[in-house]
Amino acid sequence: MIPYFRKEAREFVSWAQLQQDIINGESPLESFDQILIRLKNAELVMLTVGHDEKGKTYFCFEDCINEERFMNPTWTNEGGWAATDMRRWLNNTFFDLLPDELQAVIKPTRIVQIIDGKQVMTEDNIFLFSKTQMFGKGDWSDIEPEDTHIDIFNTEKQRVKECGKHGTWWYWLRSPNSGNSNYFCLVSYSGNAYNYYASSYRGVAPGFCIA
Amino acid sequence: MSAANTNTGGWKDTDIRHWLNTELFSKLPDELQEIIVPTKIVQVLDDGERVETEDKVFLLSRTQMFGIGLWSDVEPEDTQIDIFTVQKNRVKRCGDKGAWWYGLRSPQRGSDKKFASVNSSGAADRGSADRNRGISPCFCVS
Repeated sequence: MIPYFRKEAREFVSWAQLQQDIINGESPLESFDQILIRLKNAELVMLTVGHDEKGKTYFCFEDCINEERFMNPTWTNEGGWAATDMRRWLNNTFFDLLPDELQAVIKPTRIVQIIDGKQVMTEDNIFLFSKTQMFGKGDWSDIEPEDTHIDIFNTEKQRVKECGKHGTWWYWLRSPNSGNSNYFCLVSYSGNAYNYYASSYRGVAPGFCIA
Repeated sequence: MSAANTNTGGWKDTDIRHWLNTELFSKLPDELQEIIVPTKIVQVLDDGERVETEDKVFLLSRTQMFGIGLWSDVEPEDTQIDIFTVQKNRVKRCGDKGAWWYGLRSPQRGSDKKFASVNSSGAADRGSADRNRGISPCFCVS
């Protein structure tokens, strides 16, 4: 017999039910499962489910949203993720574009960075992923000590994302490039790690949690 | 594609075609070897010659990967394969290199050395026939 595999089709009930199932430890979701949503601006977004090494469930934008953004309007990573224009924009303007049913279940996620030797903590409804979540532990992980690798980003190929007219494209991570005051980390169109000026327009592929 | 740095003769005369249909084919599982059906491949070379092969294992063409375009005169019977309509889906891994270039069977028109390829971001590229690149072949069973 020739073996072949086909993903089992499962019915999506509701965000509220999904949240309850995850809280009860009965999540029907496996990594790489996908859910399609439509933003209030009519843009369709595919979400891919991933889990970090602690078992936390993330809903990750499979590709970049249509709009490219900078991390900050000037060439600075001062203050890290907490101080970025991107963070403010995602958690205000962009959050409002999510379907009401989804907004109602999103739980703020605790994000910790070490900036100039000090721990800076935020709680965000929507966030960019960190270099550690994307590439695993490395010498860049000292600044994000609570982050662990998310299992759907195992290979370069799995990190490649589309961005509107560009096709495959660079997209931002929330990690400031340590040792440099101008750069944040990003992922290249080949799925590799890069750094670039915070004021550059690049793709935005955020994520969120509901439990 | 070929140790001699040339695309003369197109896909038909490449070293990789010979290698895919002998050494690589012999490594496939027996039950798979039994059901593979040779696929007809047609190319029209720069001098207008129509060259036809039948191959059990083959590289895909630029038209199969990127759709019909200026490059398609060389492969008039090919059409796009649906899984390659999105650039991200054309990115392939190659061992410890991660995402990497891989070769296509389409000779570059107007060049006597180059074949088409796909780069590490899934975009169209080209390279000299003697360059080592990733190999991502396929086959048909009917």
